[in-house]
Order: sequence, then C-alpha cells, then structure tokens
Amino acid sequence: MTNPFDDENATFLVVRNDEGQYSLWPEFAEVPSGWAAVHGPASRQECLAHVEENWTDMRPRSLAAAMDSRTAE
Amino acid sequence: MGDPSDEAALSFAQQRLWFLHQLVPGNPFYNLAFAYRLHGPLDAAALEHALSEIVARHEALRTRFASDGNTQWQVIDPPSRVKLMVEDVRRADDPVAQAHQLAAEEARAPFSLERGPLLRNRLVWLADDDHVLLVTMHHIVADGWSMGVFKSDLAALYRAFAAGEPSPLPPLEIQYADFAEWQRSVMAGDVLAEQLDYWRERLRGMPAALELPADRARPPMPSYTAGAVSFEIPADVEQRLRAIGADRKATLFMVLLAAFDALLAAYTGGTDIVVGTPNAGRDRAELEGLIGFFVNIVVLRVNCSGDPTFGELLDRVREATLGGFDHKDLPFERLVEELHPSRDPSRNPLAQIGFQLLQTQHTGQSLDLEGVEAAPFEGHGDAVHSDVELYCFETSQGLSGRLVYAVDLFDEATMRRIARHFVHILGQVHADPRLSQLSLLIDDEAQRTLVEVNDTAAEVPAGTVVRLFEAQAARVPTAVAVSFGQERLTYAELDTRANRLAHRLRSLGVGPEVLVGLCAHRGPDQLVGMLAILKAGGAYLPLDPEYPVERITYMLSDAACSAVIVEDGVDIDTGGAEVVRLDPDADSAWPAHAPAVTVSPDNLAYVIYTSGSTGRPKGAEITHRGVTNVIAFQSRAFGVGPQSRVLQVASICFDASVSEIWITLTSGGELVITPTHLVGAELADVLSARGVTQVALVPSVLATLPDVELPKLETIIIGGEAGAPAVVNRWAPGRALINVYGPTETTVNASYLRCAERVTAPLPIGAPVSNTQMYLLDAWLRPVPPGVPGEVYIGGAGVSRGFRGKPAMTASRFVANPFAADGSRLYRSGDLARFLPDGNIEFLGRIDDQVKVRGFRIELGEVESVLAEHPSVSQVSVVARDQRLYAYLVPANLTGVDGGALSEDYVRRRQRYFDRAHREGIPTEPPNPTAVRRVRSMRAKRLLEIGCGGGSLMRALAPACEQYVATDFSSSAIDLLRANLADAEGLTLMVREARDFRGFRDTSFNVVVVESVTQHCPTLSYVDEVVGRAVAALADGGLCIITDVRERSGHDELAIDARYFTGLPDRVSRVAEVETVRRGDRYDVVLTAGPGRPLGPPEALPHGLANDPLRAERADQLGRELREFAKRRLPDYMVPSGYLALDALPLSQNGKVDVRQLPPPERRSSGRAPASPEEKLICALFAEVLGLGEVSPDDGFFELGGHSLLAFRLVNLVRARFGVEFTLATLFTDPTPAALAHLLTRQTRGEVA
Repeated sequence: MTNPFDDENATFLVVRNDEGQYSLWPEFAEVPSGWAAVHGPASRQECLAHVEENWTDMRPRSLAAAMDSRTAE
Repeated sequence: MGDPSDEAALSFAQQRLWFLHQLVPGNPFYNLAFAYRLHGPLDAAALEHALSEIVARHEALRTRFASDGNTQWQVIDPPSRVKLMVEDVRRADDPVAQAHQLAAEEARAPFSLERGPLLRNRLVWLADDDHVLLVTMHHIVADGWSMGVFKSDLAALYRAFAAGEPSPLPPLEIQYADFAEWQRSVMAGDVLAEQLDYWRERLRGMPAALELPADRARPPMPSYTAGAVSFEIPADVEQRLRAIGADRKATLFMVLLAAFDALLAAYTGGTDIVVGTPNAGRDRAELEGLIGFFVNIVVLRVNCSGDPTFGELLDRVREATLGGFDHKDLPFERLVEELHPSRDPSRNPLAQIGFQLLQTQHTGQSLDLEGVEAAPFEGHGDAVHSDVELYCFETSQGLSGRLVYAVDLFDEATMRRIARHFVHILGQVHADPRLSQLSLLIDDEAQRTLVEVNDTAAEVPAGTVVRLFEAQAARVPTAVAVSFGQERLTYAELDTRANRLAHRLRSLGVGPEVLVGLCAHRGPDQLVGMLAILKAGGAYLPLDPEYPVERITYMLSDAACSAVIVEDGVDIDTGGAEVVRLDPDADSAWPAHAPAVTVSPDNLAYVIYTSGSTGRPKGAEITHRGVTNVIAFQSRAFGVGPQSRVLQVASICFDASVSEIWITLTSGGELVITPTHLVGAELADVLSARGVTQVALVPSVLATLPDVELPKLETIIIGGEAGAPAVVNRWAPGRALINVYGPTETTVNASYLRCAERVTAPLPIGAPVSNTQMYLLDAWLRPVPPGVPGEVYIGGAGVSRGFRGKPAMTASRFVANPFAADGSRLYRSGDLARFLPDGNIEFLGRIDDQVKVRGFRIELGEVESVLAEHPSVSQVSVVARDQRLYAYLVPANLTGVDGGALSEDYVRRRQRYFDRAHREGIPTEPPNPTAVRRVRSMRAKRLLEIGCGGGSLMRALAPACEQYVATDFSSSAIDLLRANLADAEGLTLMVREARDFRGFRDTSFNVVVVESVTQHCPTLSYVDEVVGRAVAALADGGLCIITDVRERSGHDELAIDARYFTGLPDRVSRVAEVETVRRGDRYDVVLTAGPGRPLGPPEALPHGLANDPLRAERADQLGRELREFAKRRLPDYMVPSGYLALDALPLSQNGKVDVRQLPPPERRSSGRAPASPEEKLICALFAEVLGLGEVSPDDGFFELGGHSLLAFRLVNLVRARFGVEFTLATLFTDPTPAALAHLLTRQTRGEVA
C-alpha cells in the first residue's frame, strides 16, 4: 500500500487552516472543513515548493499573535 | 470421433484433477455430493434400475484412471447393474440425525481413481415412505451441470421404469472420452498458439496471489473445508444494476463482477484484481446432455488503477470478460503449465477468488421423482478450492448471493461483513462515482471505529508539567525525587537547583520558543538542566554526549539552537551556540524561586530528532499541551503515586524518557537513574536492589532479564516493537503489563492496552489514550473496515507542531483532518494496523516493512510472531535478503535442544580425529609435572590413567607402580602403545571412553589421572560423570588428578571455571580436599578422596561454570526444528530459508532491533556443486525432467519451470531410483535437490518412517 501523500505522480492541492498551518492534500479527496485550498491543483513537487516558500513562521497563528502582543506590552 | 475401447486420453481438466489427487491421495476434496429426502411411496426397484441405466448411458460414470508413471489414460468399464445400497435406520433413536451423519460420511468418503467406480448411491430408509437418497460422484467424471443432467435423467427413467415402460431417453451421440480426444486434437497447433498468446499477454506480470485479509495464517496444506453465508440483494439495487449495465452494454454478470472487483481492490489495497469464473464448457448441443467434467476456469484480470469511475471500471470488466470468454477453451491446467506461476500448494494457482452468476435453472436444485416429494437434504457441503467464491443467483424472486469460503482462513463473521460490504457497494453503484469515493464502512461500523473508539475526551490539568512538579515540591519537599547511585536529591533540592539555573538561562535570553541544547550524561545534573530550561520557558533539545560529533553538530545547526547546556567533562563542538556549563556553585547567587514566565500550552517543550527510513533525522516539535495530556493520562493508567519508584531506562533522546521522568515527578514518586542503559542480570539487580515499582522496556530488553522474582515490580510497560508471547506470559502474571504504542511525532503515547490474560500472539496496541484519535485509512483516505489493514493516522492533543524548520516535510506528514471540521491535523505514521473483532487495534508493521519474496507479499512481523511461539526462542527478527527470508534468533535455552545425540556425535568426532592423529603421529608432550610430582611423592601402587594418548606419563610413572591401567578412547593410540610396550609388567591397556569404568571396583586405585581429557568432553555434566566415577574408584587418601583443564577456550573446546572443582566437596561426599595448580592458560586439579561424609540433599550441577562446545550444533539443530515448526504453521513462501542463532540481537539507540547491524546470512552459493552422490543423482533427475543442462542442489523445482506433470514424472523417477516411498506433497514442501537428498538419505537409513 502506498500512501496517497507520497505519490509523486498524483495531483495535489495546498490547503491551509486558520492557524496558518499548511497541508498537502490529494486532489481526489474533498477538502476538509476548516481548511481552504491556497494553491494547486499542481504536482507534488510544486505544491511542496509553495509550502516551503510561504510557510515561514511555523508557530500556530494564535500563539504567534499572543506572543507578539506580550512582547509588545 | 474415436473408438472408446482404445486407451482414451484424459481431458486437460481431468489431468489437473488426477494430478491433485496424487498430491494428496485418498482425499475427498473433489467429491460432488447431493442428497434428497424423498417422502411418499418409493419404488426402490425402479430407482435402482434407473441408476443402472444412467451408468450404462454415461461412460464417464464407468470410467477409471490408469497410469504408467508418465502418461495416464481412461479405462472405461462395460455397463453393469448398479446395486443400490440401502441403510435401514428405522430403528435408530433419531433416524434423521442418523441420515445426516451418513450423508456427511458419504460426502467425505474418498474415491479411488484407479479402481473406481466414481459414482456412489445410497438409500437411507428412515420410515415407510420416507427415504434419503445420497449420490456422490468424483469431480473428475462430473461437474455442476452434470448434476442437473443426472437428476433429469433420473426423473425420466424412474417415471418410465416405475410404469413398466422402456427408457424414453434418446441414445447419446458422443461420450466424454470422445470429447477429451477431440479437445486434445483441437487444442493444438495454431488454435493453441492463438489462445496461449492471448492469455500470456493478458496475464503477464500478474500478482502471484490476491490476498484477502484473513483471520488466520494460511496453513501449508489447505483442508478445503467450506463455510457459506447467504445474502439478499434489494430489488431497487438490482434494478439500478440492470440499468447501468444497459447503459454500458454490459451484462448483469459484468456489473456484479465490477462491484466485486471494487470491493476486492478496497480490501486488498491492490489494483490488479484477478478472479476466476467457471465456464460450463458445453457450447455444442451434443455436449448438453452428457455427464462429465467439462467446466473450465476462465481467469478475469481487471486493472483497477487510476481511480476509474464505476462506469469506466465496468468498461474494463466488459473488455476482460468478452476477451476471456473468446478464449475460454484453453484449459486452465494448460494455462497454469504455460505460465508456471510460483507454485504454492496452500492456494489455488492464478486465481484465488471465484465468481459466478447462476440462473436458478442451472443450479440444479430440484429433483422430480413421480409420486414422491423430493426436497434437498441439507447438512453437508462440498469442499472449497478457492479462498473465497462469490455466487450470485438470478431468480424470479430477485437477486441473491452466497459467499463460499475456506474455513482455514476466515471466520463466518468476517464473511458476513464482506457480504454486507458487497451489498453496501452495490447500493452505491452509479456510473459516476470514482472508486475512491465508494464508502467501505457501513454506518454502525463507522460509528464504532471512527466515533466510539475515538471518544477519548478527558480533563487535562491546567499548566505545564513543570507547574505540576512544583506543586509536588511544595507538598512533599523532603521526599526523594531522584536517586543516582548513592546520590539523592529531594524534591526541594531539585526544584531549587533548577530554579537557580533557570534564572541564569533567563539572563541569557532563554524564554518561550527558545530551544536550548542539553548535552549531558544520565543523572541528576541532566535532570536539573532539563527542568531549568523548561522553567525558563524554553524548550530542550536532547543531545547524547556519546553521539558522533557530526550528528550533534548537524542537530544543533538544523534546530537553530542558540545555547547548549554542556556537562562538565564533555567537550563538543557547538558551532555558534553558546555553551552553558552546569555549575551549582556559580548558580547559588541566583534566586531559589521559580522565574516568572508565561508559557502557553502551545509553546514548545522539547524537540526530539527521529530517524526516517530515508534521509536525515528530523526534529519533531512537541508542545506542552501534548506533554501535559499524556502525562496526566499515563499517571492515571499506570497507577503512579508517591510510593512509586520508576526506573529511567530511556535516554532523554527518546521520548519514553518524557514519560518516565514526568509521571514520577508530577506524582511525588522517586525517579531511579542508573549511569548506563542496563540489560540482563544487571538490569534485574537494579530493579531488585532499588525496589523499582515500574519500568518501561522494549520487549527485546525485557527478554534479556534472567528468570528472577521481582515482587516489588508492579507495572511493566512494553512498547516500541511486538513482544513475543513467551516474554509477555513470563512477566504479566501478578502485575500490570501494559503495551503502549505511539510515534514521537504525536508525543510519547497514542494508544495502550493492558494485558488481561495469557496470550498466544503478540499483544495488540489497544485503543487511543485520552484526547487522542486514531484512524486506519486506505490509499484513498477511506476508513478501512474491521479486519482490513490500513495506515494509522493520529490526531488530538499530542500531535506535534511539525518538523522543525521543515515546512514542506511537515505539510506532507501532518495533514488536514477530514474527520473533524475544526482545522486540526493528523499525523500519518507509516504504520500498518487493523481493527480486531473486539475493537482493539492490532499493529501489523511498517508500511515499508512489507517485502515481496517470489512475488508474494509478506509481513515480516507475521513470520516473526509465529517463530516466537517456539518455546526455545526468546527473540527473533526476520529479514528478507536476495529473495530469501532469514530468521535471526536468540535461543531461550539451547541446552534443551537434543543434547544426548549431539554429545554422542561430538565424542565420536573427537575420537575419529585422535584415531587419525595418532596414526599420522602426534608430537609427544612432556609428562604432566603435577601428576609426576604427586604420584611419586605418595609412591602410588595402583594407578589408573584415563587418556594415556602417546604414553608419556605412563613411561614416567609405570615403572614405579605395581599395577598401571591406561585407557584411551582412540584405538590407534592404544594399538601403538601395545606395539611398543607389549611386555611391560603390571601394565594394562584398554580402549574405552573416559566415563567408562566398567570392571573397575570401587576404592581399588590409589591414583586416577584424567590426563588432558576435559577439554575434549562435550559438556560439564560429562566431566562430572568422569570425576564422580574416578573418585569412587579411589581408596581413602587416594588422589584424582585432572590435568590440563582449560579455563578459557575457543568455542569448540570445553572450558571449565575452577569453581566447579572447588565446589566438589559440597556435592560429592568422598571429595575431602581440592587443590588447583595453575600452569599458564590452564590448570591441574588434585582431589583427595576421603571417607564419605553426610551431605545435604543431592545438589544439581551448577549452571554457568563451563562453556558449551555444542552450541553451534545445538543452534543448527534449533534452526532445523524451527524450519519444521514454521512449515507446520506457515505457507511455504513465508518459511525462512536460513536460521542464525545469535547471543543477542543488535539493538539500535532506542533499544529496537537494528536490522542493519545483523550479520549477513551465509549465502548458499547458487550453482554450487552437489555435495553427495544422492545430491548429484537428484540434480541429474531434475535436469532430465526439466530438460535443462545442469541443476544445482539449491535450485527450486518450480522456479526452474517445473509444473505439475513434470513433478509427477520426477516423483516416479525418484521412487524408482531410490526405491523409497516419496510423494508429490514432499516435492512441494522440499523442492530442491539438496532438501530431497537429505530427506531421502534419512529415509533410506530408516530414520524417518
């Protein structure tokens, strides 16, 4: 059994949640609630390159906001 | 169409069955039986007459089969009157039950194909006007269609004969033998070539087997016992199936098969789906009324890849079906011969799953006897030859189905589930949905496996584990928090030291989200450092000082660490990271209270690097939320409290340490730390001496514990790999034994199971822990049904934030959760598991651990768990290399392995060695100085020397003795001495083994010298026997001098610890004194005999005082036993071909078996020359039968292209040449010349029955 996320030949989306976390997502499956497609459909490599480029702060957004406001105090 | 009186050839199908019959002679697997209960006045004479007429009419029912070893032919006997056997059970207690029993017996009674007849009839007389008719035929002369012909002939003939009329049936135009001959003549030349071309092309590269997830391991030889479950297909579904078929120009057969293929693809995780369907083979009108074996299997291979829509799949099925039926005349056996797939007697070749759509008129359910009411008499089933056969019935009442399955493999509940899923899929069939969109779970299953299993919500304490620890420090400040050797730290001391260091770290800029390296050996300092980092609000990155420098450097730079706490005395290259030394004195200036830092549950607690199967290690970022959650859960589940003493086994580089440290420190218990990672006796000593109450071990390490009582040890946690049942059953009784599972990426622990009873298989991994969800999904992210393997996806509080600094890798491993609408993520573990019927999850292995050997997909874990069931195995690891499986094992107790025969062999080998050595001349050694000195000083008169060898001691001592008896087990040594010293007075020379004292009276010698003998003995108990008899032969005050004892040796000589001799006075009553004399790497022993003293009860020979020269032989023997053991439990392709015994399995850093460090197996060179005349002969026979130039002893018959008929020829040749009984089954089990030669040699020697 191969995992659908590891299939180099498949088509993927990039999805993102409210915390700004990214996930690769196979095109065949419905995008889960709580997530929005932000890139694709595209090849696996292209989707991963998109994530690599755009997910720069890997802290959950709510944590980053709380920490930033604390620093600002 | 030929003359039936000549020798008629077998049809291809008959040949296949004839061959299978030879494989398991006397089997009832191909009996076709039916039974009818007949109410009403039965004319038995008419019935008997009708049966006689049927046999007269159909030559097939008068046919027997003859063979000369190479070819087979049909023998058709002349018609004769059938005598109907009548069983009168009218007086039985329960005539109906009796009839059922007779029906079952009748259905199971084997036929003799050689002798015939191949039709049996029996009439059971229940009461007046109440009978049961039993009819049984062998499949080789009949088939399902024939049963219908039989019944309709019987009905017509009975009606006529009962009315006194002649047979109304027109004579048959042709007979079965004509058909067989016709088939052979037609299926040749271009027709054959065209058919073969089609099938070769069609079936090229098909999988060796389609493996439905089974409830039990496949037995090496199937029992063919069938089970069946029936089900209905709703009328509205049927209408839709017909409609979609009409749209696509597909038959109902094709629509049903497409749905079945979709189901099989989902269940097997495969896309190359192969199903066999029977074809009646009676296209020509003149064949319709014949009884005979016409049915053929047509292989329908459908490619389900690329996620087709159902409509597209249906097109593919249509194409495969039409093509297949255009080429249906190629006999299945011809196809098997042609393709010679990997042969495995445990399953049907080519197609393991069957499918058929039947109209009721062809199911032959009715028997019409005039004036008699006939109803099928249920109660016995025919054998099943596939793993599963799906029959669909098209009747006027609608569609129904029946799954007939191999009871060897499946439970009825599993088949009921598959039937439900089939109907569930049929219900979803439209043209549009893609296969990936078909749901596999029915509502109640979804409720159970998605909702109920994951309903794990539980309260989690507020704050981090550090706050919970501080609460304990305030509650029990003087309690011991940590012990390390003699060192103790109380809760208050630990808290204060950590606080002071935390303040220092704060001053260096450590706070939330700041990662600090922690490079220290096990011990309190390491713990202080960890606590301080967390108290400062930071997260720790554990670094083992023993790690290679490059790895530490890589981790520090990859994790972007700005500071590292480094233990004094440890020197590492930290790159740009600032080094913080642990220095309690310097820290005393900092405040003793905790620094005020706000830490969110989403902040990092630690980063642990994990190795993937490929690529560089990556750091999983773990949050406080996950840690607090799992610690709260474990403290409850493991029952940790202030009285607990928990051993820290794991290095802080592995997250098992998180559990050990924090369940203890948040509960007020004591964390017991040892300087090093311990195993075996040392580990047991610590557990016992420190009164440890809880320990978490990898099963491989638990298996190393000696057999000691550890009454204080209340809880054992195992995890990381599957535990052999022997280990679980040894340690579970009387305590809590808990199996835990969880990848580092989901924080320590995702599921757990408390062992409740004795187990016979490795423990399941249970169910999710608090606030955790586990989903088992297939390649389309669909939840798999119970029993079907799926990949484990884990969600909940423990899911890591991701891999540090690796956004793309994180996005591909931590993925959107389709089962929650909250934007949460699931970690995909790469582990395979399935739901068991009781709702627990069973771990099956890593996805990438699945190997293929000879085309068969194998879970190594399955082979390992079978081998682990052998009582002599304590640990086992199976690996696949070069298309072979190898088992590496640690024996539990080798001394139990067939000691007697091996000892005997060992002594004989030594004896042969010395015989030759003495003949060829051994250099004479100087006489042993101890023996010379002691014998001369006591002026011994009567002396026995055992092991006189070249005679140097004898030459030195014999002249002074009155009587000198010298023995040696080498006859050539004694012969040489006799030749040289023939006339010496008082000298007796004898050939005998050291322990042979026959004829020597007790107390008759002054001295017994055991001269340089002990190192050649097979075991210490052998030496003990010699010593015991030698002492008995001594007079009081006499000496037993044992010379040249080895204290250490290579593996092949016996080495004895001197404590064996010094302990003799406690065991042997006449040993008064013991003196040992060291001489370089060996020593001599002088025992003084005295009068017997009273001793306690006889003491056994202590263990561990000698090595085991037989170890290698015992290990080989164990390997042979294990192969037999595995053969009885596993199909051939899963039986490892090599067995290597090791002292221990190499363990990796985290304590799991490190497969890469296992020594390479000794490769049996392919193409080696035969080693014995038997091997040579069998190699030649293989080559002859297979038409090959040369065959080497390790080549497999079937891999070389052997097939059933060639196998039969080979068997006959071997029987003829060796004159021994030898069956086809043996060839299937041992298909190499080497294995056969071994077996045949033993057989001709009479060692095996």
